[in-house]
Amino acid sequence: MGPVFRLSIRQITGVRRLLIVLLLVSLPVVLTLVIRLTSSEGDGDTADYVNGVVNALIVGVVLPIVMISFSTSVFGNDLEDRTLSFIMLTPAARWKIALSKLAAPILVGTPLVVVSAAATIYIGLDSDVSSAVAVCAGLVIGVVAYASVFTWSGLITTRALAFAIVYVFLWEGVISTFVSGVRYLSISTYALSVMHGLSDGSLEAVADQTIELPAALIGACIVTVAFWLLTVWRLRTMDVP
Amino acid sequence: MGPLSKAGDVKEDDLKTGSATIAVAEVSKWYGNVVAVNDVSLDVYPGITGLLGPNGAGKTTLLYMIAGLSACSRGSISVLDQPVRSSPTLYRRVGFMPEHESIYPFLTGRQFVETSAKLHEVADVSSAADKSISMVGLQDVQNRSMGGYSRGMRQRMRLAASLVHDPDVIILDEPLNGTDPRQRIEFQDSMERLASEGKTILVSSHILEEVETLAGRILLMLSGKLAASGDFRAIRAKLDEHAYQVRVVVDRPNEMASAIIGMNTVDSVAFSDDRSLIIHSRDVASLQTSIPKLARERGIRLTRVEPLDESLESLFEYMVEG
Repeated sequence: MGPVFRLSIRQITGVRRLLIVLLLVSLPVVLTLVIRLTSSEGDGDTADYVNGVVNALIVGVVLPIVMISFSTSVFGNDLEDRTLSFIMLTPAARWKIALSKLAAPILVGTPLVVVSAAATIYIGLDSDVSSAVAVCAGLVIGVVAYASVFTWSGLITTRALAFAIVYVFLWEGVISTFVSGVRYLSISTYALSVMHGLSDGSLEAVADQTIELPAALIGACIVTVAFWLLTVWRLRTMDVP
Repeated sequence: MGPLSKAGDVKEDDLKTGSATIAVAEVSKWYGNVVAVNDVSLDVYPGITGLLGPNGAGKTTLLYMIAGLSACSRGSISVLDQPVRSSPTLYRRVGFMPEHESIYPFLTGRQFVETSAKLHEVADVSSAADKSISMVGLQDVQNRSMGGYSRGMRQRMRLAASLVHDPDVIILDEPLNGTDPRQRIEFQDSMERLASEGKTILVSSHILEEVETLAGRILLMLSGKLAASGDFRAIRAKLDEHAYQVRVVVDRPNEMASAIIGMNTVDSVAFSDDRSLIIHSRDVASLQTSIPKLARERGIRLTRVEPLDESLESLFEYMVEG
């Protein structure tokens, strides 16, 4: 992908950040292990597990927080230490810079989120590989869409972290849960809908929080491309500090 | 109008070689109600041009607009006959080193320069990096992390990164910050060599002496406006008609004051605090050579000699207002 991509990877993979993210992504696995070890035969309620761990914890907390951590800093670090000029004073097309910056948090975030979720579902749903695959596919959609939104936010404001946290918990967590029409504009709904649409019925517990699979895929594509274009436009018009 | 008026008064034509590489036409930049650059028009030609002015004069804002990092609120700028802001490909021929120490501390100096070469699509990255790093004399430390560099080393490695693609137009914002006298001489030699190859070099500074040794032609900015431009020697002569201030810090100020007051070029000496003297002089160049000599002869420990910004600004005001 080129030097901008490699620089971005180095910027967002500091030891402290990686340790915090590793702790976060290990949370669903540890929680699932605790549930499995402490519950007796017949105690398990799949619907509660799916709602509690998959929906609330993985999609509602782990996925957005991991992507906030990587994506807001991909331009945020450049603005903070004023290295953006180093990249901007080059003949690289602005759309390529935006694409490289978007690719970095996707490449770093995807394996962490996906491996954690796959292990969690495999343990939690009795070695159900197809459900694990469905959850991972939904998470990849979520990773890409969140990366696009948070990468843009890191470029337009120095308070991207606050913006992203408010966005996730207000828009994704509260408004899209209670206002049904907003679900068509919610990244967590896209992720859940893909999971639900690709699963073989094991994720029925989240059915009432989903939209149609094609709508989810198209919505995720639109959000990703729209915020990437906004990032390109911002790069072309901004005053570089 | 002052003793020196607007750009073009002082042997300007003698200094123009070929067509203007950088053309700034009626450019202004404002942030809300604050005007940073006010209706500036100027041309820069091949060779070394100094952009001189006190801190806050608008030099960095102007350089950012010339480099395409910042948009003009009004007016237009072209570099090599192209509007730089909408032509990223122009950066193959333009090198800009901002004033701030923007580095990636996790990269070695060589990685930093090589990354710059790759970003500029240089064909032979390794040899371009070799050439650029040797030009700034940092071969010995090129494989050390930049996070551990001194300020001067960072500055020089950033210069190497700005020049690695062999640009035709070189814009340097306060490049001598943090460098020692020996490095300044090396920097001057490098710039003169590049200028002799026909490159256009625009160097900003708020220190008169830096620009004096570097540039034949200067652009003088004050309060966002272009106060004057032309041959440095003529402007310098005008500057020398006006006394300005230098702060000298010594361990025995009384003895130093009595020695200095006898100099022909010194108008007055005042005590600033326990160890500082403020000297008013019309010939700073002479003062600079005399002060260390006097201190050495009398066994006085000289800690610091610095022109005062306020003094520089008052000089510029003098030039504009007459």
